[in-house]
Amino acid sequence: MEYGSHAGRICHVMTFHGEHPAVRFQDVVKRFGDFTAVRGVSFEVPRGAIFGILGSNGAGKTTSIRMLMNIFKPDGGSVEVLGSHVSEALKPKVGYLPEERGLYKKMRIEEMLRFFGHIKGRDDAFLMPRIDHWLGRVGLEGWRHRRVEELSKGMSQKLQFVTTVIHEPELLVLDEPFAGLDPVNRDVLRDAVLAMHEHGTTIVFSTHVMEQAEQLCSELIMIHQGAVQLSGTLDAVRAAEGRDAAHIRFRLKPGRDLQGLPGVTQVTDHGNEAELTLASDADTNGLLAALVERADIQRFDLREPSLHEIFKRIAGTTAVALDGDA
Amino acid sequence: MSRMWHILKREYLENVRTKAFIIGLVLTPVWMGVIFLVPKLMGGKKDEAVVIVDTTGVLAGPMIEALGENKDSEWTATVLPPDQARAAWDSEDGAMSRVETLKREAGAGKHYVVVLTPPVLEKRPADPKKGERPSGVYGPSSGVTGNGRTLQALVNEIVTQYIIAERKLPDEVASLLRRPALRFQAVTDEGKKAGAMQMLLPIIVVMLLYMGIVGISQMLISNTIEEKANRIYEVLLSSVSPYQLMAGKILGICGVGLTLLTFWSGGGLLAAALQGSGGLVDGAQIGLFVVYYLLGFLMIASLFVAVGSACNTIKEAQNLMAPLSMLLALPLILSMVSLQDPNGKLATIASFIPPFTPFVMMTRIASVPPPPAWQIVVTIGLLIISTWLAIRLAARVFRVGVLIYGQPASVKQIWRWMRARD
Repeated sequence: MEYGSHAGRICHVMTFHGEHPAVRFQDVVKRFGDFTAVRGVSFEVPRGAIFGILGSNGAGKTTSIRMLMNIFKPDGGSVEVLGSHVSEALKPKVGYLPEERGLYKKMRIEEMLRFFGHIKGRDDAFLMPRIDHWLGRVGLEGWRHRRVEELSKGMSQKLQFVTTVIHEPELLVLDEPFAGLDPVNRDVLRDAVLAMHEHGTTIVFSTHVMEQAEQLCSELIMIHQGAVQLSGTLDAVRAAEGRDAAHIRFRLKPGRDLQGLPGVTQVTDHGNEAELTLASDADTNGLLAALVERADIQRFDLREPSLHEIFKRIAGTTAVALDGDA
Repeated sequence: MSRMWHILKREYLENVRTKAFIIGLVLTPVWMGVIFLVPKLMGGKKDEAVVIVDTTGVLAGPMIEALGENKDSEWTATVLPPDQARAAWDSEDGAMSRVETLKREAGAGKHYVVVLTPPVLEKRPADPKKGERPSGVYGPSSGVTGNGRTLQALVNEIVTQYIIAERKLPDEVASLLRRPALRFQAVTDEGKKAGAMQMLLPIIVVMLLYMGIVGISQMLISNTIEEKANRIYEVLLSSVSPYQLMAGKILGICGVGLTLLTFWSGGGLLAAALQGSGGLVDGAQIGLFVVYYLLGFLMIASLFVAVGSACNTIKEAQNLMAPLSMLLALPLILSMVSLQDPNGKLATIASFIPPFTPFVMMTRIASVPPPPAWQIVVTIGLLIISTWLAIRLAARVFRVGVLIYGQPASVKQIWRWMRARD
């Protein structure tokens, strides 16, 4: 079970650039009774990538991830992880942070981390230095012999992440990793994920918050109602979805609105800011002139469309709740 | 296997390290001891009343003396004066006689009545034709302490004493007559004298088994629900299979039960040996106890784990458990029946119904005579098959149940999970 590491010191996990992708889904289907949660999903996660699975709540993200973890069995298609058909034997090579977090409240922190390492097939000689390293990294070194139930919410969330990576997985699967974290802990967690990435760990994470995906992932798929709507690298997705957008910060003049602007196909009004989707032949100078007439423009910024905007286009009106950080 | 071992070890240590466990380990035997010993120590003598109607004129005195020496009860004796005693059978104008009234009062539990008339001095029945009145000891029918028998024995003894004195029998004959010819003795199958422990053995064995199986495996319901509420299962399922997880949990708790039983029965056997009742049980009995315990535990525990995994709160579990609680009370009742008649029809039939097998069979194995060997072999075989089935079905429920939140699962849903493919 030992791979690419020596007991006693923290090492880089070896990166394999072999022919097999880290994860391969092929026409995967999952039904619950009459409901089809995942309908023919196919995608590949290259080794070493930070891969985002995007979609609104109930799109089929968690179901897909559970199949990837061999917790659910697909009703159709195949799931391959690290080059072999998904199985129990792969579990030690994978770290998984489920959306629903859970720890043993009565256990002491060091004891619990050792337990989670043991069930991944690691021994104390391997685990102890990594426990030192990670507890230091997330600022919990003084809590080693305290019980989990004594920790604050933020601390338990960081500890939860440590339990996921303490065995040094080749593949790290995070389901909504940033949900419910305050900004400080979100940064701690993001840095930890990036550090794992630098060590060569492949990272798959799901989110319904598009801004996070935009910041982190190199490749992504967008799932809507159990089917893949988009996939590719972040740049490719943006290029494919083509149209640029104008981001503005504004204050409307009395009695004016943003309807019917020249060259604008869609307006997403956030109140103080708005995203204007542009037609391919839009005259941006003309647009700016039209805007100045209607509002005090504090900022006018031409950009590629955000994932949020692309996703809204795909999911239509059903994705209204996207902004919410559930 | 090693992954399951870690689950097992954690489950065992978490439950054994609690204060509740250590208190239960030590206090349960203490509590049992108190229940057995306190009535003996604290109870002291029982207060009893007796009315003596003596027309012989010679027995009332020795009777009072003998009652005063009685160890079990504190007797308050009322002796009717000779003239009242002689008039005790008279009734005026159809009213009840004194003897009749006293007998009815005795029947109502007010007191015992001892009637002594001259024929008793010759140990013969009264002859109504000669106008003789019958002797007798009267008391309530519900007396379980057997003081009626005590009084009967006392009368027999003082009459014997009277005869010895009156007939001026030689001392040699007198002492022979005073001595009892024999006493009842309970024996073991090796022909040795059986102690009190030997007779209590089947009851103790069933109580241990019941606590070890039903009591301990119930921990799994609350424990599973609590861990489900803590959302720990999905985290664990990323490292172990549902089957390893369930097996580890059940075996860990089984270890807790074995620890308790070993401690308690080991302590009990040691105490018995110190008291001189060594050899209370033999190796085969201990072996069978372990086999029946393990199989019974695995069956009941997998049932409980399945129930726990399908529920989100203890209250939901209680609703689901309602139909099962009958099943859990029956083994005790059936064991008590088997205790009366270890090889009777009911005990034999119940032995072959898997959920009852461990309790009924162990009652019979601890009783005399033990059940035939073929029944032991066949019941263990049946138990193995049904335990295996129970574990398989429970695993299917567990696998789905631990990841389902919100609505409690209906029986219909659980049935569907059981039939789902692996």
